[in-house]
Amino acid sequence: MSTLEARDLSCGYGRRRVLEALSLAARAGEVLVLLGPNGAGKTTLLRALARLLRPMHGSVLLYEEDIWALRADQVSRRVAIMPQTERRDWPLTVEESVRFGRVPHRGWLLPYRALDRRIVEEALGNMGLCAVRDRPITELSGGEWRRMIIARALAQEAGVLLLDEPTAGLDLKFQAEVLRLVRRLATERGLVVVLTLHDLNHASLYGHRLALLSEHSLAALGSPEEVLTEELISRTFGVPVTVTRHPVYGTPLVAPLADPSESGAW
Amino acid sequence: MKAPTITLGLLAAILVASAVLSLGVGAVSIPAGRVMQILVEPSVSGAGAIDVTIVWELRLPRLLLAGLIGGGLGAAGAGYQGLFRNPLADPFVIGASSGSALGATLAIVAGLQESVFGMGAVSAAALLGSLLAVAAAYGIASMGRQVSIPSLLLAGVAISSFIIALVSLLMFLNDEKLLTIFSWLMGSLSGRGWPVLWTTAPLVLAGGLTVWLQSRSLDSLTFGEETAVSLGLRLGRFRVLVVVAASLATAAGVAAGGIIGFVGLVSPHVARLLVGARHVLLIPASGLLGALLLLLADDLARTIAAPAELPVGVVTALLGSPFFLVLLKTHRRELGAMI
Amino acid sequence: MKRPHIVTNILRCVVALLSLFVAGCGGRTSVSGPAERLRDREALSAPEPARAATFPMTVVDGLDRKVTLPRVPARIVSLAPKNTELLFAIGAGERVVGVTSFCNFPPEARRREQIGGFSSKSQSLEKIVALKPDLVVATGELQWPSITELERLGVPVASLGAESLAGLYRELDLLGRLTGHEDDAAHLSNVMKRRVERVVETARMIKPEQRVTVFYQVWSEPLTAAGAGSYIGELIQMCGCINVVSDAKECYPHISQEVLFARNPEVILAPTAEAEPVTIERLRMRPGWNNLRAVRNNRVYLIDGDLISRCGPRLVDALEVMARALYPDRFGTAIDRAPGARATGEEPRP
Repeated sequence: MSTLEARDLSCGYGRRRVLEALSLAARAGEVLVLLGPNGAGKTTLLRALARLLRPMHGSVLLYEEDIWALRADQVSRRVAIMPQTERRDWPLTVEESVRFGRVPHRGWLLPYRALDRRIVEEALGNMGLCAVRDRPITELSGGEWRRMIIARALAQEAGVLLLDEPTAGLDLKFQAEVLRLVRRLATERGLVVVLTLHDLNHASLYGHRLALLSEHSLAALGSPEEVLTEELISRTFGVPVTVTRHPVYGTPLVAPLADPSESGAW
Repeated sequence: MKAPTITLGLLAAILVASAVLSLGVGAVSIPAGRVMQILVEPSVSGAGAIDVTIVWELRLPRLLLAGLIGGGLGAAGAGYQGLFRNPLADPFVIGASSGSALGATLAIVAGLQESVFGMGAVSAAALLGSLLAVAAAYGIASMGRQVSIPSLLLAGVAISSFIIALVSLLMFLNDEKLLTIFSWLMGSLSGRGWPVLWTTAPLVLAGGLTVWLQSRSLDSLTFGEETAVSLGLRLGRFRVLVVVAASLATAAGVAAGGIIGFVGLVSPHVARLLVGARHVLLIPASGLLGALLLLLADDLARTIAAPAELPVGVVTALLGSPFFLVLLKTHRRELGAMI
Repeated sequence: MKRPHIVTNILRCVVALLSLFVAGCGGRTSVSGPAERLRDREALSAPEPARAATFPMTVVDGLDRKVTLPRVPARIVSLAPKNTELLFAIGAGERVVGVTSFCNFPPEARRREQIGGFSSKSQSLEKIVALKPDLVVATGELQWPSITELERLGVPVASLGAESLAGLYRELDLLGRLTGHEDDAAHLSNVMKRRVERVVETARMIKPEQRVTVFYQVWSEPLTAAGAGSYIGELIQMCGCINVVSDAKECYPHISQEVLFARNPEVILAPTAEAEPVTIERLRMRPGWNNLRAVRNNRVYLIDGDLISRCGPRLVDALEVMARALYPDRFGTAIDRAPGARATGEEPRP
């Protein structure tokens, strides 16, 4: 049974349709990476999966139930999101922020119990945030920030994790760190992880399956080997590429080529 | 986190102490010992009867009302600043003050005298006007699509400007009532007795408590609306609840005392410096501070130009503005997160 | 986006505060003159000599302005009810062509063309000018904008604004000379002085320990009293009473309720209308007023606002009404009931 599924999904903003009759499913224990050029609809698809955007046609199913037939709090106990950017208006501490993960279970009025505190403690530990638990979130670095959000998702005990460009704004070290983390969460805890990435090689290394979006629909869905082909990538992104193998891991490695009509540097 | 809770307790204690001290303050000097005696044994007969009247009928309800109105404005201000995530939001930002001005002006112009549910006609009209203006702003902001916070702010500004023009027109057309209208607009707690307190208290307390119950929801907005929704927040319902509750507390305060500015703007900022950003502490702290500020402002209003009385709205504006500027200058870093 | 809101808020309050202080000295419709009551009362006892009218004439009005009239004015516009009453009382009524909407006495005045309302802003300059007046009678500093505009347009303006009985007599004389009705004006002055003298003489016989303490409420919100320097304060003194706010410096001091309570006057007086009608019931309902001596003893009296709020020819009616209310046994038979005058409020038990 699929955990999270888009079935014949069409959605967009106002009159503009961004996705047309798109179907895909994500399963427990896997990392599904959404790829595609800007404007292809990666973020739109993610938001639709997160119950933030109503479908114009078709449906989104969570454990085989229509996500819009469920109540918001029911969904929030199972689905956690990391948006591309979040505001940081007020100096809540790291611990207070992670504690928000318990809200779907505890509600907006009741005080937290010992159980909640324990889960939050665990999440902080898992993400290595215990040392900075009292630091205001306004003072966190990019990497710490994202770890905090993942900790919050863990406290939420969600089975589905949706991340929108989790590597944006991070340097090489932290990019690797975040991606390693989410892959571990999928494989060790059986979470469903769906994320959008720009970097095809990161997708190749860390994703179990890739979904390539193009022109309002799914151009390809499958393993990195199946999706990252020269022909598909060149056609979708409009840039000539060559695909080789990663020297260490053997996964596909995409390298862009210069335009043959241009005379120039290399 | 024990420290902020202790601060809260300290604030409450200071408020109570100030209230007691304020009983001894006024245009007529009554020694502290006599005040204590009156509190314990309020017999209205004999030589000291007038003192008893002054303390029990004039000062006591008035300072309780000041605390109530200030508390309501402080809590409402904190709620609005949290909802709009704007440090310059105050309880009047989406039309509560202009609406009340219109209601009061219409009642004064029409010469309405009757009491409605124990509230004077002008106060009742002010209350109604205040709530209707906020509803109008909300209605305009939600025309067509879902309400967004920026659109609500804009609608509030637009409505306020229009209403204030109407009020000016009414003042011009009825210039023999100018003094009455103006003295209401300037905000005053003089001559407000126990009946006003009984009608104002339930509304302010209901509104303030409801805003306080939304503390966690308000906190969640710090991550942005999408995250808050993904944590299960019913955004539309929550917004209406905060706006209605805060507006109720504000409208009740304005109906009782006229337009008293700055308290709702400054209290949340000072409260944030004292107890932090979490609304479960911020809202009561802001309420306590608002109560304290208005109490002190009213003490000044009653004494600084004795035997005359200044309108308290003028005192809060004159003092509040430089105070706020000093606050901005010295605490720019802490406030800077929001500005 | 929010800044302008705060700035205009502050400005508004500062202006309001300042205007409070200004209004405190000026009263509502008249300019406060110096409190020279005692000196003037001595000067009053000698009758004013009637002067022959000589045109063109230059006089000095209540605002110390020189007013020059080339000939007897045939078309007069009045900018205040009190001015209208004065003009009609001295016999210049047929020449009044323009009045305000508040000019309700005498009844003929209501039929004249209305040029506006209470203050400068609501009085139409166009309408005034369209009536082609050769004299406009204004009232004090509050109408300054109109006065300067009319001057600029070449219309003669005389401004009245007495804040005392002496000033009122001077204004009668002034108007009499301006309109060529000096004799009528002098006659009216003399009649008024005689009636005032009767009251003062009767009051003189009241022993100091029998003098009643009085508070006159000019306006309820903010609580404004008639001070010793106002013409109402003068009336109170003439009736042989003690004004509880006689220590205040302003003509119309704003006082706090506490002060009123502390001084606990025996009698409270008020006009029948401010902007709205005043009723004794509503006064009684104010917090704590039940405990005031005057309220408990039913000694709250309302005096017809048209009589007492205008420093005009009917002011002596107001004086007599006031005297009767304050000392009913002394003034009851000495003064005929003046037409149109009334005081409301229950009489104390004999």
